[in-house]
Amino acid sequence: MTGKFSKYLKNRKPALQELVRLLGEKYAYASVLATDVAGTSISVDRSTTSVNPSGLTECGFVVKVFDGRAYVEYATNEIDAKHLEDVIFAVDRLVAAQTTVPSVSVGLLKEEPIVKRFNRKNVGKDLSAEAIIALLKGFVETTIASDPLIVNVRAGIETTEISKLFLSKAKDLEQYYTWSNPRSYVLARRGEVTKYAYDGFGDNSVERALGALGDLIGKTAKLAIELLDAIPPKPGYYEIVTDPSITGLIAHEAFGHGVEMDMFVKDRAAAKDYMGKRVASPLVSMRDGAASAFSVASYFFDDDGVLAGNTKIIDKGILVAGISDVLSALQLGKTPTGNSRRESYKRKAYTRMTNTFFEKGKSHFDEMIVSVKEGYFIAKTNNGMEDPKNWGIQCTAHYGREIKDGKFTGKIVSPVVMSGYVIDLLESISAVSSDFDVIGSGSCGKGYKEWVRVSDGGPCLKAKVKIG
Amino acid sequence: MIKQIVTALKANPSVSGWLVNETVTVSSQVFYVMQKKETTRRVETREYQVTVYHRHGEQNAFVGSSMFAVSRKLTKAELARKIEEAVFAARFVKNKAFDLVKGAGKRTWKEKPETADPYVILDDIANTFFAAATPVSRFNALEAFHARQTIRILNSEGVDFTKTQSKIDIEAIPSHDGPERKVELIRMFTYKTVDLDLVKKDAAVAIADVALRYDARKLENVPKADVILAGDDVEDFLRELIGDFSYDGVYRKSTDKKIGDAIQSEIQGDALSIGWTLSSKADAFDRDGVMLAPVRVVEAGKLVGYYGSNQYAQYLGLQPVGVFGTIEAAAGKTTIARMKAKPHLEIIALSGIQIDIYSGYIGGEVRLAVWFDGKNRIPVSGFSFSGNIDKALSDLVLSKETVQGVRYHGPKCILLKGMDVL
Repeated sequence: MTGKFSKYLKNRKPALQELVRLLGEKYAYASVLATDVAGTSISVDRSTTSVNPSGLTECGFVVKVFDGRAYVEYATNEIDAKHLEDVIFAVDRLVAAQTTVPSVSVGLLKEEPIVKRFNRKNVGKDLSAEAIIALLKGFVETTIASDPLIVNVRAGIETTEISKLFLSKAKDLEQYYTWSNPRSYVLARRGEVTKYAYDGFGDNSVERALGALGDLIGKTAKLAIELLDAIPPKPGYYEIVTDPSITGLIAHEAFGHGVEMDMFVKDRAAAKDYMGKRVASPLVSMRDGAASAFSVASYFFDDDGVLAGNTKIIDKGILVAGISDVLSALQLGKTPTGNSRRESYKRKAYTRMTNTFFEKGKSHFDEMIVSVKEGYFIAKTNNGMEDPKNWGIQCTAHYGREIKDGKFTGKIVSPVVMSGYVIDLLESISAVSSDFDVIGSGSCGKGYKEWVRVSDGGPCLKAKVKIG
Repeated sequence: MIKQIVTALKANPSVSGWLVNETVTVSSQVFYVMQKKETTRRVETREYQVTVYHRHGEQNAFVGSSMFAVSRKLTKAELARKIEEAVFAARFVKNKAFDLVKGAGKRTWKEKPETADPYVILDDIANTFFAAATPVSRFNALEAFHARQTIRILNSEGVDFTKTQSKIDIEAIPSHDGPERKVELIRMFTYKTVDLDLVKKDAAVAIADVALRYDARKLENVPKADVILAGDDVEDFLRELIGDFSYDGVYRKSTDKKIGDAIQSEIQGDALSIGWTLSSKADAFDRDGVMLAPVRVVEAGKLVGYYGSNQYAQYLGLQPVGVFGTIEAAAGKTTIARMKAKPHLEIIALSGIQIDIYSGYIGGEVRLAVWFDGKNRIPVSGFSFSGNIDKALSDLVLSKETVQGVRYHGPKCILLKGMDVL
């Protein structure tokens, strides 16, 4: 890790400033987002080792202008001082593209002048590929040797350093920050039964991340072996207690997507009509924002040059605010909340979640378990799917532990697919624990595409859901 | 830039082999909101992925590899440093040695490009979708992507292949506003060529489906049902079934199935035959440079072959067949009309099909389905179904009618018997 803002972007900056100036002579709004994201993903299992670029690696530019009615973007990975006219030509050609579908008429983005530099370095030692491979190999070998039921173990870490530059007539912003995601995966087999477990977390310290990975793999292996006895749960309605990852999944899928305000513009979110109204149990408060927690989505400014926000979405069960990118905020007459994110410079910016969580409550986890007559403690996010207009929900947990008469029975189920109506689920929350964790190892799509890294979490919740 | 990369790779004596993947993309994108154009984008990129191989150990028993991306012009010194860093990492990668794919010079495959400007094509498609709207049903959002991509791969063993392919992806959000509520669906379409008649049909079905969702009611008192899946759900189901039968899946012991083992037991329905094929003639090679030809993975319900990358094929002592994008399955004997003659649940939209091969679980939250009780066809919503994959495979029914999509060629529908409904 360099510990510094990209030298490449620094060198390109004068040309990009000139590009914004030249475009600014023609267009009422002109901006450039420049990205240089570098990183490595190292993974070791029983038989092979791989060293690949991080999945987030990108280096390119988004040039954005206002044509008087709408916004036009030209994205490329080649802009230099000698070829600015080519870029301007490409932008002009896009603006001039003749189409028959009428255009929306949105206003001009108004920006307050701001010049800022942000830097958040990796904490502690940076390790070489040699050291990382040796550590991962050690974890894998130790874990495989620990139990004959373990068929394979994969240990990995993805380290990323992100440099972004945003320039417009009013803004000059630079940010540099790092993030690391260690991951574990264990496959276990007994006879014809094969099961797997996985885990991961995020940190801005490679050293700390690798330091904690050994323990994590041990726990993952234990779970994989336990899961050999798991069966899918019998479909039905159950009381559940969630771990923080499932709490986060519910926050994210049940309500997070529904308050992405570009969905308001498209009339795609029921939440639009519920502002100021009760949508959840009074025990529930929810937040999102790059500045709301320290995790994988804790950037300093978003992909439209808006500073990181911290938005309270639900306050004691009442829906109080949504999150927005600049374009949706402009169309709705709101202040953007710093949630404009792109999968990469090649994709459009949308309103996206960042670090999303329910706030902690006052209940004790043990008391919540004791209060369950028949149900499950469900844990470990697998996947989820939103339905913001119709408030359906599907959240899949990797496993659940059976609870009967307030006690764990020792039985384990997998997978646990929860579904139902969002408001029913949120209204059913009857206890919120004083624990709190935000897990920064996930990715989120909008619909079925546009993947960005997000964190989510919160306390443990007690609720009633449909499983099956 | 590719010449500069190859020269730099050849100049480093520690590099025992190399692979360069160059991807040139021109993507035209238009985003529509409430049937009006909101944002127009164009993306033009030229990117490289460079894999460096380094043989080491006694008698070169190991091969280490390390891949890096080149997304911008690099100076000679920067490139040399990147390669040196990759070699350094590769020294610590002790993978069993294998040979890179051997090639014999330059070969090129190209899909015929559309003659019209991409924005005119997208405009025609958008207009065709919007023409299907009614006073109460419309497309609240439509995203249209036209991409033409050229992939060139070169390696140190003489492979120099280039393919150029195009496709159009559409994300459409049909929406229906009624006096009681508003509903929507998410629909994804991929087209290889522009066929406005097909687009018109897709748009009409999308609008009809969302109107059906408005009319849908809760499904009650149906604890079990035969479930008919179609479209992407069938593709996802088949992909999951053969997902572990890749060379690396086998080498890493993700599956305990061997060639000749049954993947369907006690077959009372249709036996599955599943394989991989090319999405078009231009889809001629994979990322290692392996020439692609259709392969069978499952035949008559039994595992008959593996697939996947050059490296892991060699680890298993097999000839690599390559990595494909398009799955192919043989049709059944039952017409869809016959399939639908008995009581069933026809799934039209799921949140996302949930399949866990290891647990034998299949299910999902249903956003829209049609329940046929033997007499009436009733649109239903807001419930879930689930069942056991092994049991479902035993009496699986495949439709006689097939579809030929970009990523899937095979039966249009499948029927899973005796699913739990809640």
